[in-house]
Amino acid sequence: CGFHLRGQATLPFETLYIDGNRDSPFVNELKRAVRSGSATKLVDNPSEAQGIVQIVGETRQKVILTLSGGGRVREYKLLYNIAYRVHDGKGKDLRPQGEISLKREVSYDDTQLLAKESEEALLYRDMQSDAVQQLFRRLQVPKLNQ
Amino acid sequence: LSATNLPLLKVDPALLQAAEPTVQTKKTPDPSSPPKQPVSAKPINTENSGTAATVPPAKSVQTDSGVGQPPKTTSPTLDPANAPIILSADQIKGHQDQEVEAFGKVEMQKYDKTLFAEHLTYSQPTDELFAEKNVRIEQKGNIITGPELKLKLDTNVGYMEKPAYELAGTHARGTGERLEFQGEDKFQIKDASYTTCPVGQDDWFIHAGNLDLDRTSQIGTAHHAYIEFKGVPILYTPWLEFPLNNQRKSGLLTPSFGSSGNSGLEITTPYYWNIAPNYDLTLSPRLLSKRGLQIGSDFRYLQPTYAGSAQFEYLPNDRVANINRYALNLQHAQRFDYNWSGSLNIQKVSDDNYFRDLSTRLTNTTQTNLPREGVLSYNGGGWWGFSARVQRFQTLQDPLAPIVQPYHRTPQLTLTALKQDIYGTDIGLTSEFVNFNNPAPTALQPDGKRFTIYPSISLPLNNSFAYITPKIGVHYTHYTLDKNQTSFPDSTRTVPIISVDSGMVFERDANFLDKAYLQTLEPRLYYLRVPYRDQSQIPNFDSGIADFNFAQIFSENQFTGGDRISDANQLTTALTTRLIEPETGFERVRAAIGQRFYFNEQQVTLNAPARNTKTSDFLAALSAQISSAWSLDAGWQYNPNQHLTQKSSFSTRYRPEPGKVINMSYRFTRDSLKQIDLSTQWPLSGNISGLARLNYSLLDSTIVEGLAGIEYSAGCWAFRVVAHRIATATAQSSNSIFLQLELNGVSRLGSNPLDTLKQNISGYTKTNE
Repeated sequence: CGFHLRGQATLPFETLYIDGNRDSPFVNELKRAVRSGSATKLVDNPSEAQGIVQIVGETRQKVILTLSGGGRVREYKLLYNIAYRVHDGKGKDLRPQGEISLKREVSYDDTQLLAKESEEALLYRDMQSDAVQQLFRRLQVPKLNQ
Repeated sequence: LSATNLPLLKVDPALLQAAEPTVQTKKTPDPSSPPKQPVSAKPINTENSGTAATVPPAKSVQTDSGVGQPPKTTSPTLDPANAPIILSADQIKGHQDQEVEAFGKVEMQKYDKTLFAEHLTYSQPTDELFAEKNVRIEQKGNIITGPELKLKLDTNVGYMEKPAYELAGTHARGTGERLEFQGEDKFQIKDASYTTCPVGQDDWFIHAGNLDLDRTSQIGTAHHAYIEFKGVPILYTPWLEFPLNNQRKSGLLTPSFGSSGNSGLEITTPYYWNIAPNYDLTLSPRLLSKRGLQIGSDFRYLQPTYAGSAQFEYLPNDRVANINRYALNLQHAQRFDYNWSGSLNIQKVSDDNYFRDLSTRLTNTTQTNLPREGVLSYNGGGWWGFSARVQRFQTLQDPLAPIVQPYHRTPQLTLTALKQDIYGTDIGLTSEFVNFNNPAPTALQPDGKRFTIYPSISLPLNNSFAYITPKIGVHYTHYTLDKNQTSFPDSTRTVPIISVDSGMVFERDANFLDKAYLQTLEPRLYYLRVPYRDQSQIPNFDSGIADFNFAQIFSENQFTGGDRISDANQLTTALTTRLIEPETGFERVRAAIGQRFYFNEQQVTLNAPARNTKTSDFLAALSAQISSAWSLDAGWQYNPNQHLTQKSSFSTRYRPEPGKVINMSYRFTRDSLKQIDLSTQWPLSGNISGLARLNYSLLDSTIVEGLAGIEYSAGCWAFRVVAHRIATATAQSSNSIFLQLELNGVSRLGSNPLDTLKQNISGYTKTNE
């Protein structure tokens, strides 16, 4: 059916600098994905990098998805958004600026407040890994104007 | 009025620079250190928190393009006072350095001012000019025309009779009896009119005895003003301020009116005080005819290292409830030196019915447990972290459906670490100490302390197309319970957790709807082994049964929280396929199926009978974003043993362009939920758009939330009428009607439905923008 084993991911950068909040688990997981999933070298100094991945924003939001007939929340929608830029450090974008928006649904019950907290954390971690894989995919596309 | 209506705060750039040294002296230069950004502005605007603080402050300098363009360079010879005067006309006469008189098609230019007239006299010693007949003066894109002008060029003081004006930027225009030039960029017009409608569309005007237009502060102020709409005066005000651009400004915000069954007529007249670029305060007196006067205040602040907001509402001596009523909401986030950060979230209301009686906002009326918590966190270089939290709740009870209050955590201490690549292995640790405090303790739900430590080691092995990760860990928990409350013994639970996660990735080129994609096929296998431990003598502080979904089937415990660890000897299988757009790398379609196979009977249970089948429910999911207009999500959870659908959902959105959107969804959860949800914003005819939402519970046969309205947009104004209904408690609902006239760039009159519309109709956009 035409499927073949995936080859080594190649990013069109020999060196890459990831510019984002060092405290962010997303940034750390992205670094890991680049380090273990490609031949690209991560550098600690943006001036040594051929490309800079800038994490412009990372937001989490929780919105009401469904209510019971009595006006209580039955389900929440968890939203996770990563906004990024890929540029050369000299003001030129190497990719269109982009966003990755993900959502998950979680049932809710006011009596299960604490239990739901750890479940939400699990879903955010799941979305975070998903977003890392999606951004990693996008980084594999050849650079603009090259 | 809520914080979401307000514009973003901006960090004062001077403060940002002042804070930089403290960040840099913190440690030796580390290029991977976090960007020197202020703390997140999340409490201020959750939607844009990531970027709010990095928006550069708008400059007060105008960059309008217009006929009267300023010189392209700012060399010293072209400073305003000494700029040369360029004069052309059919006929010019006069004396050098004295007085000049020009006739016919006069055009005079000095620095950034250009003036046209049929007759002009200019006195060079006084720098004064007098112009008449078809006078037109242009500066920075502002154009003023009239029959007669007198102006002192250097100070920009003078007057114009019977002026007509157009302002750059906002396209505002109007006329007046007499315009006084009061210095650079300041005008006062007597008996003035003002509108943002384009020429030829005279739908509305503000008529003012005195109109001050200050283009330095970008504020327009109308005194003794009335608003004329379609030729009919509709509102008089002694004083009205409005922005001449879209910047924040202090002033009275437009009053809002409303009516509800249990509060009567109400009027809110908010006052907005733009204290500084990074501080503001909104005061909202709200008069409720049946209850009395409520005072609301919302203070927001944003600094390089901290940000937050404080909202307080007070209604003394509510005449219906006969009590003093208040609500408090404090949000604060702070970044300290040395990798410490902290936050506060303090919420309190005077009584259980506060939001039901006094709010129509869903985010308020659905609140049941109001947190009061403080968190202090330490980040140890990205691979380990510590946090301490104290958390209590105020539980607001629905009188017909009271609930058990959640445990307070006083405190909760957590320490987590993940160190990777130690001789090819990853070493992880999670540990937690919690003092659980039940506000109403029982024998089954006593107070207690729980200590948990879970070290683990995994060995990730991978290449480009496959991975396998064996992992082993030991989960240890110790409970100390309050013996006065319970007969449960203190206990210790030690359980090994062993798992193997593995997957492969295949790829091929594929065509779908005449478009080329990269298609992946990703099988995944996850084996989990956890021996049984008797947990029947352990209270339940924070555990629950997790939803069954794709994240959950690959996790180590089918329970959430720390009090129950499910016994497991099971294999999870899943298959995912994706369509990836090759030129962008965007994932356009994803489909997945998954199921779990059990090799042992279930022994650990929580509030539900044990599973008696060898297979779990079957999961399927599909999400697609085929074009910018269409998206689709579907999920299905099927019980193959009983041939039943446990859960299903389907949602789709069609949004071909802003102002046109249709959302449809259906959600079903066996024995708990069966709802349809339809919402739309759609042009009906001409300038009229229909707005509607119906969220209907087929299980209760009730409207959970409903909305219907229309929006008429005429470019420079819009009118909205919206009816809204939400369920607020068992057999209670709240109905409201919003009527709003928005005069673009000036004012929104009536009650504001915009937040409600955005929340009800996903993808709603204002049509007059």
